[in-house]
Amino acid sequence: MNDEFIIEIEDLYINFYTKGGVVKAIDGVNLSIIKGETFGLVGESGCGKSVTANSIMGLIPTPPGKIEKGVIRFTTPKEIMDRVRSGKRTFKGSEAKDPKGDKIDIMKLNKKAIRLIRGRAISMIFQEPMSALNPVFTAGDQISEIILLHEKKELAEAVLKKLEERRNGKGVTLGYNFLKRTYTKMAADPDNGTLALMAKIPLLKSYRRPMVREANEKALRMLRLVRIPDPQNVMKSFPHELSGGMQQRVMIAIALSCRPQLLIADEPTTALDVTIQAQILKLIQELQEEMGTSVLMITHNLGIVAEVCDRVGVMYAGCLVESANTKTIFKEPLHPYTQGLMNSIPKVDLDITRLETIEGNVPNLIKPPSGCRFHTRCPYAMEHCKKEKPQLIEIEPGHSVACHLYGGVDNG
Amino acid sequence: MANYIIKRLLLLIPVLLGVSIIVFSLTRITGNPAAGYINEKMTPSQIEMVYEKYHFNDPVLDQYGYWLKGIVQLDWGWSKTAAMPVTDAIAYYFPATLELTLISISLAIFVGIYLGIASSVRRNKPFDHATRVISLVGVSLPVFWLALILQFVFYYYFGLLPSGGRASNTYYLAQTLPDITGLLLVDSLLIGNLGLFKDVLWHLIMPAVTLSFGTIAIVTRIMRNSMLEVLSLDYIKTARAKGLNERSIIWKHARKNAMIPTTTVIGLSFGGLLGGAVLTESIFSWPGLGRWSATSIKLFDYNSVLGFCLMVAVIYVVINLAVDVMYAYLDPRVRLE
Repeated sequence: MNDEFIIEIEDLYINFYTKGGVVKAIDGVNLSIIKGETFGLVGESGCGKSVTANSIMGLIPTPPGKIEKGVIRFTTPKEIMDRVRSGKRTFKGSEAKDPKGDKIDIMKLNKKAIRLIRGRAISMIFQEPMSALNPVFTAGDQISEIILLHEKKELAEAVLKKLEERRNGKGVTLGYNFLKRTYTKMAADPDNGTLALMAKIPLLKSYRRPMVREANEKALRMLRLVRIPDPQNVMKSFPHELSGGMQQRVMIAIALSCRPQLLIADEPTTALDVTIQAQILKLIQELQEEMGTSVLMITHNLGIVAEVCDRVGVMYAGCLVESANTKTIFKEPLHPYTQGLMNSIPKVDLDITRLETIEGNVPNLIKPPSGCRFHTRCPYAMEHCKKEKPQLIEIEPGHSVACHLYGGVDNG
Repeated sequence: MANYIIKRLLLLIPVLLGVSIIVFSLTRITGNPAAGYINEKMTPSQIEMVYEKYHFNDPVLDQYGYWLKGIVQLDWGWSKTAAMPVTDAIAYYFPATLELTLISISLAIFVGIYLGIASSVRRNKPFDHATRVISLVGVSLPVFWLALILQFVFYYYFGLLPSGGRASNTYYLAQTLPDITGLLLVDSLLIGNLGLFKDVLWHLIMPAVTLSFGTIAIVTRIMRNSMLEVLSLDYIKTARAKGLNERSIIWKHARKNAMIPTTTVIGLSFGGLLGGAVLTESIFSWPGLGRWSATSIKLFDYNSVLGFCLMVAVIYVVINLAVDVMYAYLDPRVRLE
């Protein structure tokens, strides 16, 4: 049963140590994403959606952040697994030195090992494409960079193939023997230290040229894949010369160029025009089907959730309060917070002049409310809610909720 | 781009006119310009001839006109201090200053940028604190104090380095100093004299360190701050999410962006240093523009002073232009129009 999950987060606790006090940003989150699905993570700003996503990438800045506890089990493709296993001092602690099967605990990886996964197996797109792209490098450079980083082996093989072809076509290739030897070495071991050293020496580093050309070609293919018109020109463009939608397409091209198993989209359409939003969402969906990637879609827009997500998790103040199929959650939301969210969607067909809101404000996470973190705003709050934190329990298959109203806890 | 450069160079004309008016007026206000041409052995009729020849009897506006005409015709007058025409004197002293400046500014660029990046990465750690203290000291230390202390320690006390000059006296006395480019380091290599190269390098160390210390401090501070700013931006997170190692994130993605504000500071310092480091050159008897101009002012050699000021103005404008062009190269968002 577990095998179909691409990622499982268990019992995640993350604190941020700030001058004002300890911000308990993530307080026991459990969630898992099935292979190939789109999982939507919704909630107000500051509820910990992005922190959860960053923790999957190992991108929590420490300090001030600290992962107190938790397991993030990621189903890693074999090829990366082999590289992680072969690396020296890959694991932080002595435990879990021998990961079982194809699952790996991201928390236990050291910096070097997690870089094998970042960008290759899990990648991320961000809210503001303008600031997420480096202004001083061209779009093409930024795409080919990630390809050069993670797909050395494939590139080396492609270069070798081309070398052979040209040789058989009686063309003269300068330094054929040298190139062949270098690239054979690279295809066998992409992390070779000698090659990395050679890349730093003037003249010798020109051996990379055929490989860079190969990577640029792949970057061009990626730009075509994300349906960018006139990709040749966009390759040479700087981010500021592109529109917001184009920039986000370039970001998607970067994120998907190594065919990751999981794509984290952190509010990918928030900064875009509504018309562009739909295009980008459609693009993500199409590419997801093409590549079989799972998507973690972080958003506060319930419309997007309804449109693209298969399952949804609702977060409130650092806790996952409910998770279910998209249909179920819109039809019968169980948690009072989810119900509040659903009610606050403006409805055009009903003649209501006032917008529905949830009473009260998001709690301060330095001093979060005791027990259930929602009890201060909950219309059904009971005495019990202030004392004990409700656990996430499965009400029916695929529908879990963390609330004392359900699940037969003796709440009187 | 070419249009932009031409436009900026044309702007030089009003700048130079302004500079020349101010400096010319100052030299006329502060004394009699004829003093530079007269000595005690001259007869009154000879003095009268000097007045006639250099138009000192004419109205000041006419004098300015004559002087300006000379400037345009590249006749910048006679430098009494250097005992040669001002244009020749500039050509003679400039290479020494250029050599010293190039060495100091390269030192400042490499050391400053490295320290700035290194301390931004180790923010609030001992290395960062130490760098910040040193750069604060560097900005606040007077150049003459540092120069004298260095001289005391390394020349007088330890006898490790020569006290001043561009090369040892033996080379001057034997008149074997080459004069191909005027930069002794290059010339000594061109004639293949490694002994001279080492000698020149040894002479350069103390003045270069003195001159670059303040610039290193400023570059370090600016680089540290702009690195800290850049490192908190989103595209650095993107770079991390790509799986790049910290080294390429810092030295490729962050450095290139952080260099943009630092370039301005480096350019301005370069201009300032080229204009002649009066104190450093005087203390280390460096035969450069700074020492020449300081001596000229003391001797009321107004032709030299005027020539020097004009040249500094040109250098400043040209270097500012170079910085702006560099900007467009470093930051693709900048368009030169």
